[in-house]
Amino acid sequence: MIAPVMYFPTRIPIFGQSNSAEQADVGSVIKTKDPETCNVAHGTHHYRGLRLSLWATLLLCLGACGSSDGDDGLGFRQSSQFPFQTLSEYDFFAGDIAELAPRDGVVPYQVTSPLWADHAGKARFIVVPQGEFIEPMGDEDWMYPSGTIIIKNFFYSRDRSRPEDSIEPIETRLMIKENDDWVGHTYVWNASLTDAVRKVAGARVELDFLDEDGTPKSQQYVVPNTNQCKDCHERHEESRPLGLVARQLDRMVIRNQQNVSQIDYLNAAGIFKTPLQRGFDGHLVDPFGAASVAERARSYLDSNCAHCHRDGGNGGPSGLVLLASETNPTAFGICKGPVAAGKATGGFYHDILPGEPDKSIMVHRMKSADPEVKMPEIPNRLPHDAGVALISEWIRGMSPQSCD
Amino acid sequence: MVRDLRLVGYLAVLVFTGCGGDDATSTPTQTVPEGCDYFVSGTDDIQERLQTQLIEAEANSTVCIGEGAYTFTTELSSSVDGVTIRGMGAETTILDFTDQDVGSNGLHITGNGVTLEDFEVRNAPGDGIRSEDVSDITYRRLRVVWTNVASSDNGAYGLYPVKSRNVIVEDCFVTGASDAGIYVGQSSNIIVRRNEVTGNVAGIEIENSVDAEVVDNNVYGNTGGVLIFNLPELPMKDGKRAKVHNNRIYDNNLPNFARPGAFVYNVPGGSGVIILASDDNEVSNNQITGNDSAGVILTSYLDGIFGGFDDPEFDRNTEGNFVFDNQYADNGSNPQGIISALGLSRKGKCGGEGDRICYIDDDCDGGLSCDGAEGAPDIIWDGCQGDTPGPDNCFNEGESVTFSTPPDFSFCSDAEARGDGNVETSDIAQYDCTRDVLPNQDPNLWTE
Repeated sequence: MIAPVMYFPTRIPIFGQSNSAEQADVGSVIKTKDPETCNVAHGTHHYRGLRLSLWATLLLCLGACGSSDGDDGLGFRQSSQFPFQTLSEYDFFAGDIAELAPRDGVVPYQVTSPLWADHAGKARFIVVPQGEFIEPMGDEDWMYPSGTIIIKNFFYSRDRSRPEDSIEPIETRLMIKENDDWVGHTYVWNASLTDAVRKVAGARVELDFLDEDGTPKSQQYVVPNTNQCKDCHERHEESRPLGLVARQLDRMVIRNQQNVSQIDYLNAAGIFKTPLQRGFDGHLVDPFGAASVAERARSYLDSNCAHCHRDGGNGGPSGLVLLASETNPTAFGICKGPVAAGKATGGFYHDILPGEPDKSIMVHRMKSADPEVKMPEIPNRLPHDAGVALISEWIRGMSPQSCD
Repeated sequence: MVRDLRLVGYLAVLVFTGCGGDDATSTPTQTVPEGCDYFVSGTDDIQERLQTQLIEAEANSTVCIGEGAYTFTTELSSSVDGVTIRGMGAETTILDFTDQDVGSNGLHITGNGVTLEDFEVRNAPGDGIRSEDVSDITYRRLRVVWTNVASSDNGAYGLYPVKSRNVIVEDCFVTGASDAGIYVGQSSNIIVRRNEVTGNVAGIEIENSVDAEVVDNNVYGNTGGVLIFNLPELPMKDGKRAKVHNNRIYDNNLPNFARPGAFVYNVPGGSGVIILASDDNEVSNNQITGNDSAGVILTSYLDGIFGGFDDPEFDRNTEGNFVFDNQYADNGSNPQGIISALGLSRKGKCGGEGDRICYIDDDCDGGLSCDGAEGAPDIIWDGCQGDTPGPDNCFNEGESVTFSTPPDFSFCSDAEARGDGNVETSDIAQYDCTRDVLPNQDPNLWTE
């Protein structure tokens, strides 16, 4: 039985006690919205069809351009309309766009171990063209139909003493599958939060906020340029989604006020050709949850580092492989010497010196804000204190080795 | 809440250019120079305009950058295939990354078939220009400069193609890199020619790569001149067949200014050419002079120096290399670091009348002295071989060349493998042999 599509998830505190940005995931930003705009799918199997509100727009546009490609609503695929210059033109969201209340067919998903993004929370969605399906072969590297759009909204709390009530979107990133390629686009929200405008070369946004004590502070937030999408998403010269991997999605989520398996939820959402499976190697856990420190640390490194640090990734040439599924301790950093770190070694000799987080290059680089030293290189600017603490705790607990 | 005014400004620009078109006043109207498809000049908003142009350039087009000094705060990147990025000259188009605070590289290239020419990259926080996992890349008439002399705060690599195929680096100038000025790593089919490289820790480094030709370069004033390295624990294994010929490699006596932990921190100042754990390379017809530690050093991957490794595929020994017909003068006169610690001497003797290469012999007192000066010899080989020795290294040099392996081999890492007396000798005679000369690299013969 398909879980009814429901966009009234329980609000979750964003900047509460937990250090996990995951807590600030989809749902928290989606404020109460008018039932008129979102109640259509309750208890039915029809919600894929109702996505017409979005795709019909695209079709109409193509029709106006004279395309007769496709007879069942798929003609947008070669669309020269993409990318739109504004986010609103995609019509992903109903009502007040800043509420990020997805239209039917705009399917929310959450990851287990999110990428640190300078205190920003994220709301993620995927849209699959009507009548088309994702073929989820294994944990990752699935086959997506052309026209699939992945939507990631970054939002920020302006008042950390009442984070739930002060959320504003900052930027929205899209990955659009154009035939064989994923192409990234970034949209920066305007001051009145009525829309977001496409930026090719990135942007820097000064974010004013009140800290927990009510003290006014400011933080510069970096919106990457669209080339920089590839810094993280490209592997073996192909861009790929990062969050949409089974090891990230296999978790519980709140849908329709019920705690449900996200795998079941997504399988019921009708976007997969064959059911998404679970149980792959390197399954991720909440880095700030209840699992063992080793599992949490490896999960954190997988989602924050392994997009580059794996074969074919930007950091592949280093030989450092930070996938949670990596079983060779040297490959994931134990006693591993640096290769091309330059001054970023900090004068240390091993990525991980067991028992000695403060003599481990990995921790040194995670703690740094120096552009040459810091890891990840982009796009965040602020060290993630909780992440540093987690990796330090993990390394400190290892049996000391000389590594000589 | 007040949002960033700068953002409002951006939006205003967007609106303006969206409606404005040709009469935009943010940049003066300029004629696109011949041979250029796009032309970016003027310093206002250069970060956004150049980056946008690099992203939006058509494949196989040429993006030109006008004369001037341009400052950037974020790494520039290009991923378009076939694009040429061209300045008006390495002395006149200067991309200055001194104030960069986002991204590590100055310029980051990920497209295939890219040509970069005629501009300078200054003070990049990390690497000057990095290209990774690309085919057919040419770096031409570029300058990469760190203006602080020999500072460990300088970026690591000047020109840094890695995991790439069909790489040409020519007529470039690089100074100040705290690792290597020109570094080609984990790549194949490589030409590094006619470059001037000085003031770096390593001048030119070919690492875990195959089929490189390093020719006609002027390599001086670095810590180490030309390094041919093969390191463990890297995705690409078995670096070999670098042909280093007809270079001038002199006065590479800069004290090492790399950070501890960086691999090149191990390089002793005063090194002309170092071959480390790499096989089947050739060093020929170079002028190798004035390098205070040694002219040419061949060393295995010694635990005592480089630490342990975990890589079953890695062969730590240095085999099958061919060193011949180089000109040596004034090398080894003031050994630094590990070379000094080896306690070598060039007070050797020739093997006898007719022997072409001098060698160090503990028992040597008398005979035909090659030089008689204190210091290390022109050529040093650590003499270490594994239990299944590969092809010998061959040294086929002129009469005035001094050569040494150390007096004993107790430091060799594969201790039990050294059983036979074959390696426990400093007698060069058995290594005075020849090997097949490596072919020069010909881009016309390169395939993807």
